[in-house]
Amino acid sequence: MGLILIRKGFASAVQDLGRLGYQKFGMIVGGVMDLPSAKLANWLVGNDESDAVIEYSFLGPSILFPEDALFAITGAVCHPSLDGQKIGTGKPYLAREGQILTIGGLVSGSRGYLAVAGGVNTPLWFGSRSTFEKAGQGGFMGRFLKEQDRIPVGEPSKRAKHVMASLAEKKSVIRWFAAIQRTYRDVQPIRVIPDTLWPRFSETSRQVFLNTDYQITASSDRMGYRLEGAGLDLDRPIELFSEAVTNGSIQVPRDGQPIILMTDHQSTGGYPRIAQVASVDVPLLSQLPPNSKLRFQLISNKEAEKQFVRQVKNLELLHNIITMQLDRIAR
Amino acid sequence: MLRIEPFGDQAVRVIFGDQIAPEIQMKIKRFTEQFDLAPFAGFIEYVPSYTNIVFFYNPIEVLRGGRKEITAQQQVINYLANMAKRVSGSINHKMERRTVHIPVCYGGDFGPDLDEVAELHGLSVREVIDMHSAPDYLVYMLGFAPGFPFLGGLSEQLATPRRATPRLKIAAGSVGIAGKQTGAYPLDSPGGWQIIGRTPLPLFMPESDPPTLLAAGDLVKFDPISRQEYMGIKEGQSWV
Repeated sequence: MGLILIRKGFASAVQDLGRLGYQKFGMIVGGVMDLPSAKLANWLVGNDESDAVIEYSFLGPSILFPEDALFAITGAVCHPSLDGQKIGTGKPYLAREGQILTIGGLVSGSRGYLAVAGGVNTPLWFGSRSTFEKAGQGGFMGRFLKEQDRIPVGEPSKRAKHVMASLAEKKSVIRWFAAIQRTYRDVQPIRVIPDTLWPRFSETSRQVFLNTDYQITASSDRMGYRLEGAGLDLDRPIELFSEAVTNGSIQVPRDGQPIILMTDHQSTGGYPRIAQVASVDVPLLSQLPPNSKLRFQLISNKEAEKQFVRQVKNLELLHNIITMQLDRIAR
Repeated sequence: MLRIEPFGDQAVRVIFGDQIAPEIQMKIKRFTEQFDLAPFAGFIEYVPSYTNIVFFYNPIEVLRGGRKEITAQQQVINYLANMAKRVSGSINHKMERRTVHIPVCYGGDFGPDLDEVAELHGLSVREVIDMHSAPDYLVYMLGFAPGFPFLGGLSEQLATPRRATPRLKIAAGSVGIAGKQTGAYPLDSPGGWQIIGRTPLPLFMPESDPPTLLAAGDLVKFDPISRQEYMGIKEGQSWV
């Protein structure tokens, strides 16, 4: 089993839910930027949600299937085609041997996911298949994908095999699709929890942070989003030591322009942090392309946790429905 | 006094002090050792640093095992507060620290900034090497890159500002000074440190578990070696 890359797209790489447990050694967590979308792609092809997928940014890859395969596309909106025939996203498709999938440019959102039944089966490195590009480890040979790469795929689950057989015999047609509803706005509200250093920022900084827009600049990537907007400063300088940071940490370096740390962030950082993006808004943030405008809104830790738990429960519901639908096709 | 604070909505920070000191590092190490014996359900990982430890958890898992009426974050805070009481009540056994010897070939093209560092401090090259290789450095934390140690104990006399223009590529194994810090680069990377030597030992070992030569709490001793010895170790002769 495998996939052959005909066109590499942009920043296409093998990712899963990240490499957990090794940050104390200075390793990054990494993994997919938009966790719910990657999980959804896996559910649609009968995989475990932790199976590896291909993530791409802004431009999707083109892929040749050397064998029959069940696949699904989620995340950013795109107009994919299979052997020139327009296909949809958010549902499983059977690719026949020799067919070519073209994903093309992303229309709305900036990260897309391709899951294949059986999961991308590159070697596990410290419990994960995520690409740690800076260290040249994990994923497919520790790097972004390029043309001619042959990506190994694992054995599809029993459920996936039944679905494939049913679709091959044209016994069923899939009329539904699954999507995670995201509302993109001209100025995207992003909920943040004040950091413990919040009161140490100047009154003006705290005001402008919440009442003016910040724009994601072009020098943003999977490590972090550099923002441009009203400058922020501390009341008086404080000596800070490097300490653990996480996804959504909003750091303010000396130039006063905030940086939001994203999934490939270093495990530690020494800049003062003004706030922390609520976990519930990190997936949406991960889909925003450069030039997007943000407006930060305060939320309490308690409310942020409640909203996150609700988001996960809704996704679990979606997972159950998808599983039922797959079993119906398989019957 | 120990403080426990929320960090976002999926992490908690336990703070042991507000300065860089071996006693604080020891408290942090003792706490993590106790924690390893009894982690809570839903715990993902912890990351120790100079003055604190951040505990990451999955709120869904914490709520599954615990009470529903209080937040997962509050449950984690309560758990860590209880553990803190137990740790501070336990007998302070003497901490065993592991000393890791790191051979370093100083100067030449392995340490292009050695002469400049010596000149800046009005020292001979020999004196810089002696002063740099004398202390037992304490590894406070790993961060920045896999296996990169934040070391404490550099002689004040050797403190040197970063280079005005960072180098685009510093070779893996390079040993350098930046301000009051000294350390070694595990991977080829850009950087502004003053490079005074290079070790043939890998600090990052992708095939080993753990993948790093050092861990927080270790002591590091730099041992000066010749270029010939460097080559020998690089070619696989063992280092004793």
